[in-house]
Amino acid sequence: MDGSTPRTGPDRRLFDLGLLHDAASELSGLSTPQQIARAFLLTAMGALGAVSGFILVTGAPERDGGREATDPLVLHRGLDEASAERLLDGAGAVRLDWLACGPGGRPPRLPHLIAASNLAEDSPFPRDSRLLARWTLDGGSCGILGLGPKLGSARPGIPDSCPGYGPEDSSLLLNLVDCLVTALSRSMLTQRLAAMGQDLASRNTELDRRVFQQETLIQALGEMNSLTDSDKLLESFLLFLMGTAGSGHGFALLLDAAGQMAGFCGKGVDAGQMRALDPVRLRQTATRGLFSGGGRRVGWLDDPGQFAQIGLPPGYCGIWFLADENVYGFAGLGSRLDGAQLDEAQRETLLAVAGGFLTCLRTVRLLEATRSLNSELAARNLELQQTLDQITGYRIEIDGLERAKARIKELVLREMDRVSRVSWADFAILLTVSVAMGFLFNWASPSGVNLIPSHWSRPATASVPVLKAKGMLDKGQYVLVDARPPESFKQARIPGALNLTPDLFDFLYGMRLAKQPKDKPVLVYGRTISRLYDEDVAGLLVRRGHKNVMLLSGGLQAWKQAGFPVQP
Amino acid sequence: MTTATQTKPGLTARLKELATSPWLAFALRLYMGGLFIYASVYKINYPAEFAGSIASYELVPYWAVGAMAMVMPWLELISGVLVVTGIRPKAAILVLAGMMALFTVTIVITLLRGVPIGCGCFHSMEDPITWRTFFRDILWLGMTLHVYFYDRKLHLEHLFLVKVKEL
Repeated sequence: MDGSTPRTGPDRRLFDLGLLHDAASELSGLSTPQQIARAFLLTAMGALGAVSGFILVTGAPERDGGREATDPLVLHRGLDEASAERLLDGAGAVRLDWLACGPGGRPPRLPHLIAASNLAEDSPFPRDSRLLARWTLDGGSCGILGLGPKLGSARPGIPDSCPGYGPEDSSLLLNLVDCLVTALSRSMLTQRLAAMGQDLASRNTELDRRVFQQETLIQALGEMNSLTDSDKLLESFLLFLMGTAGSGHGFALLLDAAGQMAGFCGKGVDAGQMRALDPVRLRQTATRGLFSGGGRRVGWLDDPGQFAQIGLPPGYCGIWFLADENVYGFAGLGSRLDGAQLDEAQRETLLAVAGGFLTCLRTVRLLEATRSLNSELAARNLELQQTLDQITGYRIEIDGLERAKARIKELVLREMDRVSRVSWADFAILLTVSVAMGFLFNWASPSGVNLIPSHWSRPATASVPVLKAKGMLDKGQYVLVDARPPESFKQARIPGALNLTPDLFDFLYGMRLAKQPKDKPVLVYGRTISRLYDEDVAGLLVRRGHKNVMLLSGGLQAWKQAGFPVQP
Repeated sequence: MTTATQTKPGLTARLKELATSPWLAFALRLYMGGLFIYASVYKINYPAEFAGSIASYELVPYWAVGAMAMVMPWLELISGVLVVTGIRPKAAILVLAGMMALFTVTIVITLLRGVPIGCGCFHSMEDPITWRTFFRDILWLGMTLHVYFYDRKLHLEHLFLVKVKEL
C-alpha cells in the first residue's frame, strides 16, 4: 500500500478521488452512526496509511433512536491499551474541551484540522496522534478524528524517521471527513426521522385509544340517553362497562338515601351476594372520593380491604358513583376474560362511561319523577273529574229538588189559597150536615114536623064546585068550616063558616062542631100555597067520625071570583 | 186652609180604616154568629111552630115547608158556630148573608102584601112584621157583608193553616 500510493500530481488526485468515491459509496450503504464511524475509521486509516486512529462522535443518537447519547461514541484502531483506556476515560473531557460542548461555544462548522503537534501532557488523545480533524454537524453533533503515524515510517526507537503527512494527506483527510459528515448527517437525520416516525406511531396509538374511548363513551351515552327506565339504564351501563373492560361478569346496584336497594343488575352475579353490603360504608367511601377527587362523582375502587369493609363480594374491582344526595351506587367488574389487568386509560374510559351514566341517571330519575307526578296528576285529575261529575249529579239532583220544592210550594200555596177561598164544597157540606142533623133531630124529637103531607097517605077527599056548594049552603045542608088561621078568618070569610084551624082543632072542635051529627056533610075550605088547611082539617074530621067531608073546590078565591059574598 | 185639607183626608182615612178594621169585623162576626145561634135554638126545639111561621109567609109550597123547617134552623146553628169559631168563616158568613137576604126579601114581599104575620125570626109569638123589621134585617145583612170582606182575625182554622205556611 505504501508503495502504490502516488505522492503528487494528477495521479494522486485521481487516487484521492477514487478513495473518496469508495468511501462515499461504502458509507452510503450504512445506516447507524456507529457503523459509519467504524467503517470510516478503517477507510481513513487505510487511505492515509495510518497505523492507528480513533474517532469520537458526540450527540449521536442511540441505537433504539430517540434521545442523544450522553456519552460520546469512541472507536479506535491500532492504539495500545494505555492510550485506548486514556481516550475512553477522557472522552468526557474531550467533549467539553475540544468539541466545546460546554458553555464556551462551538467550534467552526466546517471540518478542519487541529494542530496535533503540541498536545498537552494531560490530553486524552494518544501521544502519537499526527492528524486531528474536527467537525460539527447541523444537529449539534460534533466529532473528532485522530490518526496516528503512517504505516511503515515509524520505526521503533527512531521517531524522527517518520515522513509525516503531507498537505495532500491533510486535504484528503478533510475530504474524507466531508464524506463522513455527509454520511453522519444523513444517518442522524434518518435516525431522527425514524424516531419521529416511532413517536408519531405511538402518538397515533394513543390517539386511537382516545378515539376508541370517545366512541365508546358516545355509543354508551347515545344508548343510555335513549333509555327512560332506571333499571334498563343500569343494565345498559353494566353491559357497557363489562364490554369495555372485557369482564365476564359484573354487577351494578343503586341505593337510595335510606340505604335501600333501589336497583340491581347482575351478570353472573346474584343479588343474594350483596347481603353483606353496608350502604353507610359505601356512601362514606363515595363521599370521601367525592371530596378527595376534586368533586368528581365517580371513582375507581379496587382495594380488597375496602371491598371487605363495604361488604362487596371479593374478587371484583369497580366504580362507585354518587348521582345526587339521594342516589348512589356501585358497579363491580369481575376479572377480565383475557386475565389482564385494566390499565389507567381503560379505567379512565370506564370512569367516563360512569360519568355519562350519572348524567343519564339523573335525567331518567327526573323523567321517572315527572312520570310519577304525571300519573299522580292524572289520578288526581280523574278524582277531580269524578268529584265534578258527582257535584254535577248533585247539582242536577238539587235542581230537581229545587224544582220539586218550588212545585210543592206552589201546590201548597195554591191549596192554601184554594182553602182560604169559599168553595161550593163548603156550601154542599154545610147543607148536607144541616139536612142530616135536621132529619135526625126531627126523627128523634116528639115535636117533630111531618115531612110528608098527611093527605098523601089517605083517599082523596071529594070536592064540591063553588056553585053547587052555594046552593047547598043556602039550603043549610052543609056545615061550612073555614080551616085557616084566625087572622085570615078575621080578614075575609064565607058567611056562616066556622073557624076550625088544624093547630087548635081539638079545642075548637069540641067547642063548635061536636054537637053536629056525624053524617051531616061538612064542607071545608081555606088553603094557601104553603099550607093545605082544608085537607088537614078534613082528615081530622074524618078521624072524628064524620062520614061526609068535602072540600070547596077553589076555596075562598073561587068563591070570591064567583061573586058570592064574603064577610066582613 | 192647608192644614184643614191635610187633616181632612187623614180623618177620612182613619174613619175608613176604622170602618174596615178587621177587629170590627171580628166583633160583628161574633155578634152575627151568636145571633143566628140564638135564633136557631128555639126553632130547633119547636120545629112545628117554625113550620107554621114559614107557612104564614105563603111563599113556600106546602110540601117543602116541613123540610125547610127541619133544615133551616140547623143551617143557622152550624153556620153560626162556624162563624163564631172561625172555621170556614167565609162560607159560613156567606150562608148567613144569603139567609139574611132571603129573609129581607121575604119581609119586603110580606110587607107589600100587607099580610099581618109575625116575623118568626126568633120564636113564634112575635109582633107582626113592620118596616122596622126590614131595616133591622138590612142592617144585619150589611154586618154579614162587612164580616165577609174584612174579617181575618182569630180564625180557628189558622191553627192548622199556619203550620202549612211554615212549611
